[in-house]
Amino acid sequence: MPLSEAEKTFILHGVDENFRQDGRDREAYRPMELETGTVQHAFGSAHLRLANTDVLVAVKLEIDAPFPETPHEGKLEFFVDCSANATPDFEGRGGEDLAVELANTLASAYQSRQAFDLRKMCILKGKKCWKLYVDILILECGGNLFDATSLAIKAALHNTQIPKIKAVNIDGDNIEIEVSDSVSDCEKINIENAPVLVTLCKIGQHCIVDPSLSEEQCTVGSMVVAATKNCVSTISLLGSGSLHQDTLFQFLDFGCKIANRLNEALMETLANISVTNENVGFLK
Amino acid sequence: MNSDSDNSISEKEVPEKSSANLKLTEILEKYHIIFKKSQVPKIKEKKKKHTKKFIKKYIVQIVKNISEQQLKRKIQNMKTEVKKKTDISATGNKNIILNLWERQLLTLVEGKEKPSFSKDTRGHGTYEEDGDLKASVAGVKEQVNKLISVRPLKSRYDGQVGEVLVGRIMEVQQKRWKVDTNARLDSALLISSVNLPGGELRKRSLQDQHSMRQYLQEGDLISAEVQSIFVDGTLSLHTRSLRYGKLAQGILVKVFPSLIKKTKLHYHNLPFGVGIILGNNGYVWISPPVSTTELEGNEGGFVQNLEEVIPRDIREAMARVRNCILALAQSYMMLFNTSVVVAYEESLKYAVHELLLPEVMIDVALLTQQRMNMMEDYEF
Amino acid sequence: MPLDHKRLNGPEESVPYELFLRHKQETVEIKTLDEVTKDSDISREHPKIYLKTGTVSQAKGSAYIEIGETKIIVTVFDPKEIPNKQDYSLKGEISCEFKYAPFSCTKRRLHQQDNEEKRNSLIMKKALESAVCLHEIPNFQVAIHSLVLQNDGSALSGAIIAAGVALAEAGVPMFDIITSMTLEICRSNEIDSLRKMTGQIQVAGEKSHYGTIIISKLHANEQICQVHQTGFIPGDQLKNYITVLSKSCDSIAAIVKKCLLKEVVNHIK
Repeated sequence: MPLSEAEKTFILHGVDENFRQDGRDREAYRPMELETGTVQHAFGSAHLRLANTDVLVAVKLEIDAPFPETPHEGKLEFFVDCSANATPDFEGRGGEDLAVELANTLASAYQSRQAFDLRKMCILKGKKCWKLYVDILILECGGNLFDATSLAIKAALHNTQIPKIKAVNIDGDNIEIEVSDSVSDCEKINIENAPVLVTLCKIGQHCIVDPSLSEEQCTVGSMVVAATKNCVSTISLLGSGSLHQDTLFQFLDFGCKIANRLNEALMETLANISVTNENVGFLK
Repeated sequence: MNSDSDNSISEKEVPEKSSANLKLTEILEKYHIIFKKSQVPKIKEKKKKHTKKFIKKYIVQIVKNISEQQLKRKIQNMKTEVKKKTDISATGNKNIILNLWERQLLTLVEGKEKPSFSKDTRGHGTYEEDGDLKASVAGVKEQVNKLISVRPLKSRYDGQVGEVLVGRIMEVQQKRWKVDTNARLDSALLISSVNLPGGELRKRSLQDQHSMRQYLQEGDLISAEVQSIFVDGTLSLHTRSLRYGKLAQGILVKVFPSLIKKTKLHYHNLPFGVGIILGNNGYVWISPPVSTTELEGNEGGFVQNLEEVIPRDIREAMARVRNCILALAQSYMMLFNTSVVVAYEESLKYAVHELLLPEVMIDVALLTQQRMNMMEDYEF
Repeated sequence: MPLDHKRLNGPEESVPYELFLRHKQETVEIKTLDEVTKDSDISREHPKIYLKTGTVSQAKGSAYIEIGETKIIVTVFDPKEIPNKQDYSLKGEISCEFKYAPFSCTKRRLHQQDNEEKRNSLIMKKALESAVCLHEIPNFQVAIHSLVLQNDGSALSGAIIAAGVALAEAGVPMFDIITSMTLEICRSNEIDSLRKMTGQIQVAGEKSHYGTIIISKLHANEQICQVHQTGFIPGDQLKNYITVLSKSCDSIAAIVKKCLLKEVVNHIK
């Protein structure tokens, strides 16, 4: 969506004055709504709506053999699908680049053991492990996809129930796994340290979070920071801009701060969601 | 013959009358040219002949004398009776039961038993099937005399000549610009329809074509008026007045075109320091107030001042207006200058960024609606 | 990964033999970050770099780089029209391809690009986009191909350095010299010598902190055009690491300049 020079100047001055187009300041997020447990067939799911951005995440579990190099770790895979519902640009293979970038960033964010412990996904060392497929469906694109996706994933993982394994019978090469019969006898995944992605955009001399579509057009350079509890698990520069080293450091600090705030708000909301899965709204 | 016919819906009639009427209509079937209203001399002659013949027959069959005028009046009365019975606005959805003679008369007068409308009175958004008029879109019914049309809630913009709209340049072509105006097809802004700097009466030269991009680039916003409509429905725009032209710093808000009320003036300077253009195509442009004296100094609206920094209070007002418009649009309320002003005043109790919450948006819309209703009552 | 039906693939369930090796306890000591920063001559820390241009005669520009044991060839082709593009655009484009040769790593790679290579291609593209003057080549696309012949760590940063040199040799207008460096933060002071390093510089971190950082830097403007980090590092530590990296990038820039100068001198002769 192209913008005229005058509109870009207006947005630029607005960011300088800490008063953006819709009245937010540089650190404010638009109102978000989160719903968990929406998809019946998935083990865990979440639906997040951030103003015009709509993301649906579902988690499915399968039993698989672990990689030979990491016999006591499970597997985690991200698939991103930008459906043509979101923008006509995504029709056919248009959304593939964005999907690949998003999936890659998420994969590298969750790669470290501190962020997400894959060892807990192991059932039998070297033979059987849980494989988590995290499927992300982008229903509507209104800017700021990375943040919305990461929050939705965290909520979906929180909502995921892994069936408890009662017994494992090894008979030569045959391995039989017995899963507990009752549906509610499950384990939950510990997602306290799961990272939250924050997109920071540099407009003029300052940086903002949660850009809208028109603000994204005016950025000089933008960065994605995946952070949790003051530790960074992934950073990558988006787009084709370059930053000075000091700006980079500024962004890092800013990003960590915002990520902590987002994390707190999300954990609070998740704690409030009751078993009946009502619709909860929260503001950042 | 009793010519009083007030209780025409009742079926009970004097049996004499009904049988007499029946005979009349049977005769009339032969001479149905009497009903034609055409003024063509041939048909007029025919009509005269037929009336005479008819009267003769009438005298023969129903043993009574009747003059031409009386006959005319009688037929007229019968027609009115039948029409009253079949008037939809009076009967509503009730079943209409007609007598035999009434039915015959109806067929002669080319009416239909189930009243529906002929093809010339069908407007946009409707279609005809089995003699019934059906709506093809979901929306609001609009009726002007006999023209019935259905206006959908969310539709693309249908341009009318003379409407003001806000558009964005999509492409720069040979001798025109392609403008996106939320219509079915991109509108065209011909190079001959713009004011070039340096006077109006200059002939468009080759150099003008090459330097088109310097006047208007891809992504620029303009305000323009619809000059004409091409055959395929493309709108042709023009910016030949000093009021129209390239738009400077401000905010663009997109709403559905059907929410913009069609008024005389589209440029408004709202009382709290914000200028607003409610384009008929659903694009609303919010900007700092435009002073009328500035326009004369402009070279046809193509020069922009990019260094000017808009002060904080005007910026706040603009952001608030933007959020109010979005709140009204979400609750499907009509947008015109009064409604925007009222919404702004109602929203003052919230901070600007709070207006992004869905609950607050509904609250503002409700309050606005209440105040608008009150204002309407006072007007009367 | 979809199987390539046109080529003969190996047996489906084959596993590299190293898994069955008994580990020898040879350890290599790795310095901590403080020791590295005190050392004023950082160029001693990273392996030797050999850079040569003009290796592929058919291409418009090409470069060959050796970092330690890692060997990479990069070629750049003429700007040509972007296929399937109708609308007018003021900027050009870069298309980047990063590929490991099947025999380059310890574990055999497939002929088609897998996810890791695609990700590296994207990273390379982003880094180079800020270096090339895209507005000078509107509507054109510059194709860059890089092939890793032997992977002994920091293949991506080597590819970026070589790509910068190849672009310069091809005559594509650029803003600045681009250099790149990888830092690996290991879990402890001593590391198994058999384990393959992925970074040019290895630094020992705390027990729970580890990761890899790749930085690309535009030399004269001192702009960091690309950062990619994986692992788990606290924010302030990260800043220190990035400072170390940018200093070492500066030292590489000298090598790049020397190589380009030699090439120009040869040409004039």
